[in-house]
Amino acid sequence: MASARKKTTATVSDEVYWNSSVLSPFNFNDDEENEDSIDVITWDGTNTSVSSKSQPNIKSQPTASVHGTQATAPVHGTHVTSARYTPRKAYNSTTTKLDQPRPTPDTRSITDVVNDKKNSPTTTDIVKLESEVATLRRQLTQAKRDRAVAPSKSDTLRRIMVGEACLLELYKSKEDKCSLLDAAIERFDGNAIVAATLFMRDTLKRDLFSKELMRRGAAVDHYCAYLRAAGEVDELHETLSAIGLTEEAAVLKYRQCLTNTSSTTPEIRASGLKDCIKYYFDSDIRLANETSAIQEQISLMRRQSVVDDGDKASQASGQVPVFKSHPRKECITHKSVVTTLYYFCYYHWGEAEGLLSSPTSLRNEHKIAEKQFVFTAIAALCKMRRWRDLENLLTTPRTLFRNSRLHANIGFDKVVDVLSKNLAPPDALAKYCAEVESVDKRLELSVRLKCHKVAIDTIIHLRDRQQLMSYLDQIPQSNQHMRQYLTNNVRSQEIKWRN
Amino acid sequence: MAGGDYPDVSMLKELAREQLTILLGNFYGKKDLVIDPGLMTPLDRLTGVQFLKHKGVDKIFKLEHKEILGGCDQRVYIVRPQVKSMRNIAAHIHSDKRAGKLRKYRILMVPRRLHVCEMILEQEGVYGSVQIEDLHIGLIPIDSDIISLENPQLLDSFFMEGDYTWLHTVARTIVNLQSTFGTIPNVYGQGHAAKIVETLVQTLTSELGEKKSPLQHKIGHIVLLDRDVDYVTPLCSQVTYEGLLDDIFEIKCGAIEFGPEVTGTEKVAKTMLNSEDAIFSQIRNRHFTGVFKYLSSRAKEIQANYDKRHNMELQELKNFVSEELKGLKQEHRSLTLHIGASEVIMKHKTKGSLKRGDLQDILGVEHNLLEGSDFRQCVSYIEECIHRQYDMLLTLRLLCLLSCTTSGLLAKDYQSLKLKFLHSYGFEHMITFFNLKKAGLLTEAVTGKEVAPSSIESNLNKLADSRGVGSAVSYVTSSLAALQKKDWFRTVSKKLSLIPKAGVECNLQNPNDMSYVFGGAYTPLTCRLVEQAIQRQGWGGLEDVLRHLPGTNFEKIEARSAKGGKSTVGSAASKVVLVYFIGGVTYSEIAALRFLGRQKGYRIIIATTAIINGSRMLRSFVETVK
Repeated sequence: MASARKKTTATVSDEVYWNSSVLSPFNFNDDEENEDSIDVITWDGTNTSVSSKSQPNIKSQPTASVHGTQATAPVHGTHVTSARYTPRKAYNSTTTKLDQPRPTPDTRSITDVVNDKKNSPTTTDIVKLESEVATLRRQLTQAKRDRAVAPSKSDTLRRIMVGEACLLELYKSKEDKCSLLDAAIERFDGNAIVAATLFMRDTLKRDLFSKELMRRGAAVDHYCAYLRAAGEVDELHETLSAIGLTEEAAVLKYRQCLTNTSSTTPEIRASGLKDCIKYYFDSDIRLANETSAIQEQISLMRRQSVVDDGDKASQASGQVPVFKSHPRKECITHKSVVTTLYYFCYYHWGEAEGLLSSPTSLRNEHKIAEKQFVFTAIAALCKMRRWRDLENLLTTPRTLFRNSRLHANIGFDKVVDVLSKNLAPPDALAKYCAEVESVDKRLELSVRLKCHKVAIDTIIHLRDRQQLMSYLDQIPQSNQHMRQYLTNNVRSQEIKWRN
Repeated sequence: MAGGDYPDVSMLKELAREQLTILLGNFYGKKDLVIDPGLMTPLDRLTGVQFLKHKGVDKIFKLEHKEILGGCDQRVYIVRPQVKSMRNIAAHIHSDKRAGKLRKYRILMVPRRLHVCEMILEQEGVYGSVQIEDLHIGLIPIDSDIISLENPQLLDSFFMEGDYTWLHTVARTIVNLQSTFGTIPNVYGQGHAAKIVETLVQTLTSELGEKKSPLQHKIGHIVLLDRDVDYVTPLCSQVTYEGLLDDIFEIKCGAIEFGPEVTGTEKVAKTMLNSEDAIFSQIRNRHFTGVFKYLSSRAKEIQANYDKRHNMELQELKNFVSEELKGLKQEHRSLTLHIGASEVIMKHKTKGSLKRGDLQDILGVEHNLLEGSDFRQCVSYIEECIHRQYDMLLTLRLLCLLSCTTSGLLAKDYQSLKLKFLHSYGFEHMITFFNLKKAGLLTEAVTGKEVAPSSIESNLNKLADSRGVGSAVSYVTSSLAALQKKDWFRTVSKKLSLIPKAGVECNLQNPNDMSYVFGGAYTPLTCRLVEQAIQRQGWGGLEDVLRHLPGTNFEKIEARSAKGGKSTVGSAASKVVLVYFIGGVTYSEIAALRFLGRQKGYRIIIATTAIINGSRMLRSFVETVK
């Protein structure tokens, strides 16, 4: 329905145009005017510009008359309907432009004029006519320019901005396209910038387009935003590389590889990532860190898939007790290094370094920091209730000069924190709580976690009898043993109380 | 008409409903609605199912990448103009065609159609089957003083990709506000986007043929602020009640859902958070330490009111039941919810969990970062967050705060933290790091030596300059250059005294300074800028500070209110300020601005593209590919 309406308005305005235009005098002008009359036709030809065939056709009969041109009008009408945009307004505005500057409103009909000339052309008539011809010629040139060059850029941009339909196809020359884009950029209208850029891409040769695009930073930004949204990854990659944003281009390819392989086997992803390194990362020395990270990722994936397969088999066989008591919840493929480490500590603690599933071997390969290792191992061992292993982990071996002792590079306050958040039993908490280095922290933690013995000992260490007495309220009646321990100490004469 | 001359923003809601009525009414008969997921809550706020049913809507679906089964023969899509949505719609139409189903389709694009969308529909070959209309839903009233576009996408689309498209929408809403409430005479702005919006407002006003509104203006000032002027504020943990609710439970379009941990039952309680809730409006802006005290005193009052009924005559009791009881019940309900929520917040504050450190520790680190003290200690806390695999957004937030307050990390720290982060959360976050770098949130400090030969960005800038494109210089590349300003946060916070001097205690219960919203540790930079702009009536005298901020500053003053009480016409309007945050605003900033308004006698209306917090702001940059 909409297209039908479009058609009628187009033809109506055409008729208006033809009726009101003052073309008639051309057709009986002498040979000198032939060139112009050709132009009349070409001008009409550009109207129907969508069909390039009609142009040479008309040119082949250079003495075409008004009737000839009128004959093309209906053809023209059908073409408009196939155009992409509603050119309604555009036509109207041209007609008004043609109407307005006409100096003497010519009411005579075509036949009148023809008859008039044939009768008796007086000199004044000729002068009058010649001046009219001159005016009309001027108008014609103007009209030609108006229609062939399409509506002014500011008008088109205004239409884009307020959301009316517009026609970009008539901007034929490269200069026009460029200045349209520049004008859009100057107006900060993102929608128009994208429209103009994409129009340029569709109508200019590839390298010309890139050249013009690269000159305009804002256009590049908008073009890239469009490519990203439309998922034209290859084009985006090329554009980014062309403006020298190699890092972004490489990251883009890396992302594409991950997206494409997210549901495939690790082997396929690994080979994709290898290609990624080879083509996009290796060439740029500034991406060295990223390159090594991707290499780590590849080796991690290999390890994960081997261990995953092995563990799946042993769980299925039912021979390995640990998988019976703690069945695997999910596989570790595509998990992070630390999550994998946690899994290894959980199921494979203490395995020899030669095995792929050994926590130590993973730590060495990825150069995991000591602190990171301890945090992860404590959590995993605590969850597994492997207290002996935990103690070994936190013990510095005996040397020539001193006995073995408990030591934690992350500080025992953190050890206790990790344990308590992993819901460790009270005796495990108490054991490590007593090791907390700072007295204030030890007191705070032991009170909060209700490690009464540690709390009492710490208060005694502080020689604060008042506090010790008031702490009695914190110990529940059921815990008679601890209450007794406390009262014994309060009475003790051996301690030099401060108060 | 409370407040008489004050602009009543709730009329924006009416305007939106009117449009929807017309558009749905034009499409005669029964129809199904397919809604963009991002538009569901905003539409709910504006219309509600009842309203839609009344307009002939039959079923309502969510727009996804999958087929919609069933439905009647007319369908209306309400979508944001995005390529992805267009492809989904095209897929729907194609599958209908294959199944031989005849349907009529209409697409309502919010807030307007884009060239790209029409192009995609054309390419997909469905342009002829659909009719496209613009649905100009702009600012949505969230509360009597907050209006929001609810379009968080603008943040990464402009500040990361340099795409102006959504700024048009911002400008358009300002034009609309001006045609409703009169042309705003005084304009102050800071930032790239703000400047562009200002220009667009000028252009649009003339091109839409909006006349200078004959109305007496009701808003005296507008302040436009870019989010990238101040990334620091949204990166801090919030400690006002409303801010904490948003951080912990997430407030969506002015509504919140409390799970079982708050309600104590299995049910989920959904409630609106706005000034109509008497209890909430009393506590929303308070520092959290003051909330419990108020709630318990309030609970006693309510109990006392309930108890009144025991010694009442029959007639009195009747009155009580018919009049007071309902109000009391409502208060009772909201009181129960807020007490429940406060308890959960307390738990968060003291205990922490496997995936989250103690709020107290985190606040300590943030304060140190803001003050610029104990740098190493902060770094090691962040490392601990990484080691313990705390919630990723928390870790990222601290990392970004570290970077923003120190103008970028040293190369050594950056690389080591990045590698640890990748180990802990997955290598794919290489992309996240890249995105954050591009947005200027997490960067590597550029030392003098490195700038010279290798920086492509600066070369590009030179290239653009030499071509004489001037204003057309890419936003993205120019903002990277701006980041090289050393230690700008220290300088600015000193000059604007954002960090109170040591030893000055801030009264959190009865605040006397905006910094109370961060426990007296920091005054939000944006709010300080607003304060300065409206007090000085312009940026005069602040050049020294603004020079350090990204983007340009500008002012346009047409009605300078006479100082010393001799105010002329529109005196009420000169006390009304619209603050427009381009890229989002946090509840802490809203609380600070409300405080500022009360303190200086202004009525401040906050317009924003979205209400954000640290997590939501970062989430748009995080890579999700697994």
